[in-house]
Amino acid sequence: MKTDGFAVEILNSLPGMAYRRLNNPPNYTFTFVSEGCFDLFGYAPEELMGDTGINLMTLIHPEDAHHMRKLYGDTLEKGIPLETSYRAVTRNGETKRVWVRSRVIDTDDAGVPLTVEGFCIDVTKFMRLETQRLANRSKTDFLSKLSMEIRTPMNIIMGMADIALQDDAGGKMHKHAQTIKTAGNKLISVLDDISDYAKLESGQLEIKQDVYSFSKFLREIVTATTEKAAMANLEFLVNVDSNIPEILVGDREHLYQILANILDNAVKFTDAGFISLTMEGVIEGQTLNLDISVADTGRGIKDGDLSRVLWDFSQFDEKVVAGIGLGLPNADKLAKLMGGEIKASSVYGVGSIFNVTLPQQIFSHGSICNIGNPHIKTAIVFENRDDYRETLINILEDFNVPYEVTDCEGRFCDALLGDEFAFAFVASMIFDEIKVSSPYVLSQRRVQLVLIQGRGEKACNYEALQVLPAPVFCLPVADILNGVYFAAESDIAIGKRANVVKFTAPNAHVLAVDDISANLAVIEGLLAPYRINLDLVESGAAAIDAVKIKQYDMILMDCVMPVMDGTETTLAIRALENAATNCEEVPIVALTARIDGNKQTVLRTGIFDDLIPKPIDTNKLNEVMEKWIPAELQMEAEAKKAPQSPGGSPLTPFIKIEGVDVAKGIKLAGGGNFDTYIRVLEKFCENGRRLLEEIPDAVQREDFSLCAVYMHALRSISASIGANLLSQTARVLETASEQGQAEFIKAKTPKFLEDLEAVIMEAEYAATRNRMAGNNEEATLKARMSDMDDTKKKILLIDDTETFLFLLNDILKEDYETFISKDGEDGLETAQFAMPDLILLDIVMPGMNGFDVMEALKADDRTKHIPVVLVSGKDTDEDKAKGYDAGAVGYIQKPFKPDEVKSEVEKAFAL
Amino acid sequence: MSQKLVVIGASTGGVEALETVFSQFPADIPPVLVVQHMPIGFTDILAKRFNLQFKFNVKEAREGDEIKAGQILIAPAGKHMQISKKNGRDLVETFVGPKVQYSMPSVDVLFESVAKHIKDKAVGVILTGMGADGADGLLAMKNAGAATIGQDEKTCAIYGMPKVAMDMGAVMYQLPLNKIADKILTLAKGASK
Repeated sequence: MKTDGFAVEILNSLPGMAYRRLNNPPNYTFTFVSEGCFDLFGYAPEELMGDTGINLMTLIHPEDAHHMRKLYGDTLEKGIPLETSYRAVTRNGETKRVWVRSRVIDTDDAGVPLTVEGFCIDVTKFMRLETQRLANRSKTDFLSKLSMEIRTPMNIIMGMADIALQDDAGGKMHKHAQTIKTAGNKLISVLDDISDYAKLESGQLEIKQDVYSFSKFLREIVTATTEKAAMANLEFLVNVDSNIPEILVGDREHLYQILANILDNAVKFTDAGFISLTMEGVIEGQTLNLDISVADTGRGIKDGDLSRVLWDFSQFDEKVVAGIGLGLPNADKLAKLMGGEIKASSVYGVGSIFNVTLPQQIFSHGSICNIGNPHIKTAIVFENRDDYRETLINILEDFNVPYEVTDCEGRFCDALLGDEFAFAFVASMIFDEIKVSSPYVLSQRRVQLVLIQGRGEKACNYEALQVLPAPVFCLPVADILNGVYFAAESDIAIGKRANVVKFTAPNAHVLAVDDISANLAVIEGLLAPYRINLDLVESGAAAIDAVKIKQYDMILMDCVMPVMDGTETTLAIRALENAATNCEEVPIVALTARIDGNKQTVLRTGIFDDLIPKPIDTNKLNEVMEKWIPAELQMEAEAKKAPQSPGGSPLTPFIKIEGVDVAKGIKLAGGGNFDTYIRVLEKFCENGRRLLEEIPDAVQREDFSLCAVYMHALRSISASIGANLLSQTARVLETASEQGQAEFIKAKTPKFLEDLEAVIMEAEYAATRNRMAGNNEEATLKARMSDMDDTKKKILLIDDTETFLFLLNDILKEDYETFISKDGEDGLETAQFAMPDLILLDIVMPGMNGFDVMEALKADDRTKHIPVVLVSGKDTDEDKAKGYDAGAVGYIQKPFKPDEVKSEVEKAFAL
Repeated sequence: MSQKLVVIGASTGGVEALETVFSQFPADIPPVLVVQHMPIGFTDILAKRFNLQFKFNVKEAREGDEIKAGQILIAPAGKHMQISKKNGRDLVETFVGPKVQYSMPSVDVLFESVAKHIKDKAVGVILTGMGADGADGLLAMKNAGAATIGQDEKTCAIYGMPKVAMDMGAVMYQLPLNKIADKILTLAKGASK
């Protein structure tokens, strides 16, 4: 048979074997084979061509021979090309998987095939890989299904536990229910690990790019770890670079997961000692390279095991430890997906260090901690624990806050009574001693006292005391220096805060749809405290019937239901025509246990208004209820309102007291915090009233030593609230009393008491007004507005630093009506409400900065016309330019002189 | 300084050995400096762990730290530690330099500075460890009049560094691990005379 030489050359260079053969059973004579036959079967072409006794059929594995013969008969003889794979046996007895494709090229007149052409190739390797891939996929599929199957009953268990917790507060059942919840939470975290693992293995995991607040992130992870470390009786040390930018772009959720996994691991494997978290950030243009280390004093990992930690499920210690060992491998895979890496190093018997490096994008360059006026926030530190003291000192140095360290009680007490310091940080154990040894110093102190509370130390209840709980790190210290109040009470424990129902809505109608009645029971139980009218239906069809006849304020819709699932039902409800009800706009909230149904995916479809993942978390449910139940139907819950979040009242109404330097008082008594100052003021009034009655009596009896004591007390408390004149007079009278100058005292005391009473009355009035303002800010604001002189122009002052607020206010209040706000958000609200003619706006503020506020002002039709003058300590031209670009009409440089402020304001009004 | 300065060098097996010695110390210990060969990062962990574990203070040494009784300073991994006199006070100096005896921190660097500045008012101790770091330094200390101790073969995880020191004639007292703390305390008291 003649074959074109060129074609043969090509055929010979192919891997695999091309052939032509006769259809002459049982010989099946090869008339041509390409050279690939040697690699494939181990025979040279000449050994196969002709009637050599070896042909395609004899090369088939005996177990496949029957099947193949049948195939050849069925297909080829009917003229259909054949394509299949089978097992072949080579010359040296090796079994190979061979793929073959062949067709008949020539038949006799009766249609019986005469010649067959074909091509065979070795696919052994591919098949092995494919088999493995299939096996892997079924493994991850299995894991996904498994975690979903467990999740559904878990939903019911957790929900019932929540109901029990709400029902029977404090009883024996409460404890049992709490145990169920704790165990359930553990199980859910295992499920999460499994489903993450399945997602990571199958490559389904998506890395998101969200804008997020790094300080919030940090607080969350520190709070969670602090609790876990405390339960394991471990010290937790945190050291965070305060220059890390606050607003970042990246996958917050997964970053949290990575850190939580590593920290959990550290807690789990450490029997005694501490774990520590260190975070540093290196800024390169718009990228922040986070360098995070977690160190522990755990058992450590033996050298040989170290490389396995990150990719293996195995746990290396003989000792049994909870968990299934998926955390670290998951964390490692996640970090790699996010463009980072995790390194582990360990010294057996000493501890381990896990190091995570990860890039995040910088959204804006403001850092997580900003301290207003660090130079006036002088601090004295009295702490005998090395770790706490050194951490605190490092932070204060970072913040440029002047400080002094002391280990002498006498020096510390002097400092408390003097003007030298604004803040006094003291170890809680030392404080307990001072409380016993020098109660007088504490009651007369003029410095904001901050208690450093170590792990496991009881919260201490003492007036106007701030608490810095361990772990000491930059954020809480910044809060304290900036005047954010931390309550000394320890009732902010997570357990108590949960399950707080904020309102009832007896006039609201809610429909819940779920095919599993136990789930409905859970929902019913969880919603019971809201006293809403709840209708329960078990299918999509029933839900549609229900909405046709009744108007609901919200629908809770299970996603996975037989016949008609949640999505279909929702679409059907939306599409209901001529319905007399609000089918088109009723909020529909999806309930989903689907692990792959992450929030974004479900919400992105736009079908649902919101989503609650199962098992239902009561906090999330509360959040959804608050958001979607119409505000007019929400009524104050009967139980006492939850205590206000730290931060004090956002609006600080300016108070004026005749004869009192309020700004100075706030600095001295309040440590810069207005709310604290008000509390001190109330105390002053209480003590003052008592002394008003007792002093005349003592003077009458000529008991001058008692007089001296009273005057001494009045001298210091007056000074601390800023009543300077009163304090000076008290001092004179104190000296006179000590010297027994009866005439002088009798002559001067009545006038002094009159003055005292006047100040007390003023102060009481101011404090009461402030309290009212706290309860009803808007009303006060309205009241204030109606008080105001309409002819004066209105200026809103926004600055996070009270000193500047008061300064600006002092400068401008004569000629203008002033409003003040301590932060950007509050400023915006006030602007909308008060409609000022001009806004003086600080640039550097925590939370919303000046530029953010400007943007928001310009975006709002009501406020966009209001001219803004920026006030800032930043004097870079860049900032100025940025400010003018954003629409500012002027710029005041801090520190400022009164005249500069006045002229800048006049200039702005003249525009 | 009423008590002598105690300097301890250790390598392989040293963490457990140090723990044993420290656990036999009272709260009012003489000043102690330690060089323990370790990867960077772990000396801080070790110091913090010991600090929580024992009544006296233990911390990783920093440049300029004062040497005082009741405190153990551990040389930071990745830096040498030595003693220097400034204004008549003994201060700790830490610095990055060439490795000595394949190590940084090196026991020799510390011991030799102690031999130079503290002379006979010191106690030198070599505990378990591979190699020869510390032997030369211990000999220098002995020649300067200090007391010297070496851990014995039986209780060593690795009888390397103490053996070289012993063979050189630098060790005055060769002792099993559980006798070392007592000996240190006895020898350290001598300075009060």
